[in-house]
Amino acid sequence: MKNLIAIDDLNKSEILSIVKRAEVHIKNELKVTGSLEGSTVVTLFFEESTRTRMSFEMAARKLSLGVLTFSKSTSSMTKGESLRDTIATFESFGVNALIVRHSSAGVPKQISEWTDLAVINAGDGAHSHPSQALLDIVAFRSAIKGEIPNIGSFSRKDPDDFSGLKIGIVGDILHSRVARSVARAFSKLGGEVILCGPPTLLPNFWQEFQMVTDLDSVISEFDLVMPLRLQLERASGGFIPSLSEFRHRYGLTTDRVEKIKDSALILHPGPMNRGVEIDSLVPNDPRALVNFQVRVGVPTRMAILEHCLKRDYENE
Amino acid sequence: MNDAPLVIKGGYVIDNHGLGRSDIAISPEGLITQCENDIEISSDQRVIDASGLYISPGFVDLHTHLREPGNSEAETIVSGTRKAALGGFTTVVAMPNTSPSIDCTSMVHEIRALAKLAVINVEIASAITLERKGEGLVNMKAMADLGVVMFTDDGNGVQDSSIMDKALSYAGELGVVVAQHLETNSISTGGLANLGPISQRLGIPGIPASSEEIMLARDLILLKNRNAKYHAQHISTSGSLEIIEIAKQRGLKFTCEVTPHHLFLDDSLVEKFNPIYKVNPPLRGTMDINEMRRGLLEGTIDAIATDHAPHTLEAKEKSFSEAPCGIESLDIALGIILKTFGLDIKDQIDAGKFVRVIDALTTRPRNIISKSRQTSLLSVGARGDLAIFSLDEKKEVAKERISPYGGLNFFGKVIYTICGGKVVVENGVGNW
Ligand SMILES: [Zn+2]
Repeated sequence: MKNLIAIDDLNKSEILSIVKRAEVHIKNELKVTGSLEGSTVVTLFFEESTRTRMSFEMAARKLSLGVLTFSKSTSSMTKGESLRDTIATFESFGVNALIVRHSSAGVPKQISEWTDLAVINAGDGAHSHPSQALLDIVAFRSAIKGEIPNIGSFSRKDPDDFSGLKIGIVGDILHSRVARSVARAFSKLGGEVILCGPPTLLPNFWQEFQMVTDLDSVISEFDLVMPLRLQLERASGGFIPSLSEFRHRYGLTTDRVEKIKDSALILHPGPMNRGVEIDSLVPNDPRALVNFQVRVGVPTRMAILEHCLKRDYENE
Repeated sequence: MNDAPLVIKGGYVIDNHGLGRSDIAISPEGLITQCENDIEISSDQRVIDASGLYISPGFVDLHTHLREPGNSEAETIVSGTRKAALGGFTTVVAMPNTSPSIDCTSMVHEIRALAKLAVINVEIASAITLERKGEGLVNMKAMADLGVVMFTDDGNGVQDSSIMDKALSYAGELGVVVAQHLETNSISTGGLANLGPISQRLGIPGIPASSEEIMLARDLILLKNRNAKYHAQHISTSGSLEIIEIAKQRGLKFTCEVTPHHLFLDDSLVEKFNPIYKVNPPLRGTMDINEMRRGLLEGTIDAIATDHAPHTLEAKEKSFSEAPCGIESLDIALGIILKTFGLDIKDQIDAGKFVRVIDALTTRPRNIISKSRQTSLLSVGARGDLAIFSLDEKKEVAKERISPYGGLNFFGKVIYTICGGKVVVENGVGNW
């Protein structure tokens, strides 16, 4: 039983083994033998996200896992039951893994201190979203390997090593758990990560990665460009003067996309604010993996569940 | 009143004047009657053998949350003062952020009544503004007449500069202390941990140092034109120390305090996302901690105050964003501080540092809240309030305790606490 709270829980070879397992699932069209049948997972989404929750639940069903769904609004937590009591209840049901999403950074980590069950982070505050980062790697590698129809110009000798590649994450880095996880994951595989956004939305004290405020000065160097979803309330919060100013300086507009290398790729963690961080037509650009990215969600999460639950079975 | 007169024999004596050897005699009325070597013992006197132990004035905590009334599941005046006594404190200043707040004379009477059962002295702080809302001033004169020693909206800073100016003006006339919880809400709101590399790497919303420093600078600017006693509570940043150094060098008279946790714990601990490390002001970076230590040793920072802020277990098991702020340390403050300054190894003690640290727990905080300045708390005629501690014995903190200090142990165990001549802690155990 293993936790997956943040990308830092994984070393490079563990990242690659999860990613390669996901690739096997894609190749086999999600058909699995020797499954995890008999185990049960519960999705505890204190912050609602139908898309991510269903992706995990589908992944679990493909592995013949039992699935329980916890919803904060209908549970006794609204009657004052504490987080810890809720976890204890699921422990008593005999579930094997908790898939947790919460608006507050750190809750999956806290829960992991209270229980021996596997805890899988499905996104917590601005902290971490490891499954998203791993599926981005799966999508990126598929493109590198020329496995995606119509996207083939990017060829590399070694899809296990990203050294020499520049990954640009663009937009509201400060509030983004996706940015934190993607930056970590790609750099663990050797990539050079550059965080780009308005100065008010860059975590300037965090000195692990290069930070750039002028997107146009660096965009032509990127091998992968990832615009982040911009929460529309950032404008009213004074972080940016206006959404149109943000689009003008940091949006992947049709004009700006012209500056991106022909061999580069565009990933968006979704859901998109079309016309803000990405123009409507850009997802149709031949370099954009946006549609493919959605399809790798389930196989990647299958591989994560196997990674976290597998040892149970080996011990039997 | 004590049954028998006391003589404490054979210990080392430490206060703001230095470290030495002396016996101390205390009358049944609770006052020090003799302070000299080799006091002769009469048969009616009770003798406390303090050989190998250190005797200091009882500690004075300027910043204690006793939680009563309003949250007696977390703490009561009785339970909080017992913890304080076990830590060598003989006086605590009860903060007014109770529920309801201490903001009127009837609340002062209520706290006084509850404090009759306290084992040590409880001084009372009143809010500056009604319900601590930062709007209308409390009736400062009536509260001062009742012996309230401090005014603070602690838990909140007074945001409105004009209200703060008026509070300083009013307090100046009355000669009472106005103390400030330094926090600029427009900057700090939403923040949960020190703004810095650690919070940004973890994605925890940050509280910038400027939240504290802007209010401190503002208050000192206001103070220039007001003849008031001003006290900056729980300072935590190197920038605050810098502001204080400049202002004090220019002759502005005011005082400030630092907590044991801002001297001892740094913000890397929030990596565990455990709300036991959630406190306001937040744990800061190592540079800030080093500056707090320097400021304390140099005397720029006057006092150590615990900001003892207990919460129930349930409250501290919430998410990091929902859990309340606060660390409690009354019973272990001495050990934490001695360890911080390397004063916990008996053979290697730097006497100068030791004297300064004890001064910051005793004479200086006492003088901040006293009407008349006392030069020595260990002299004939002074109150028989003493802390007697050992540097050979460790105080162990239970592992299960909901505290950053759980599972640690500290040299500097309090063996006796004597309050008004009464032995309230004996052999490290409460006499209650
Ligand atoms: Zn405070």
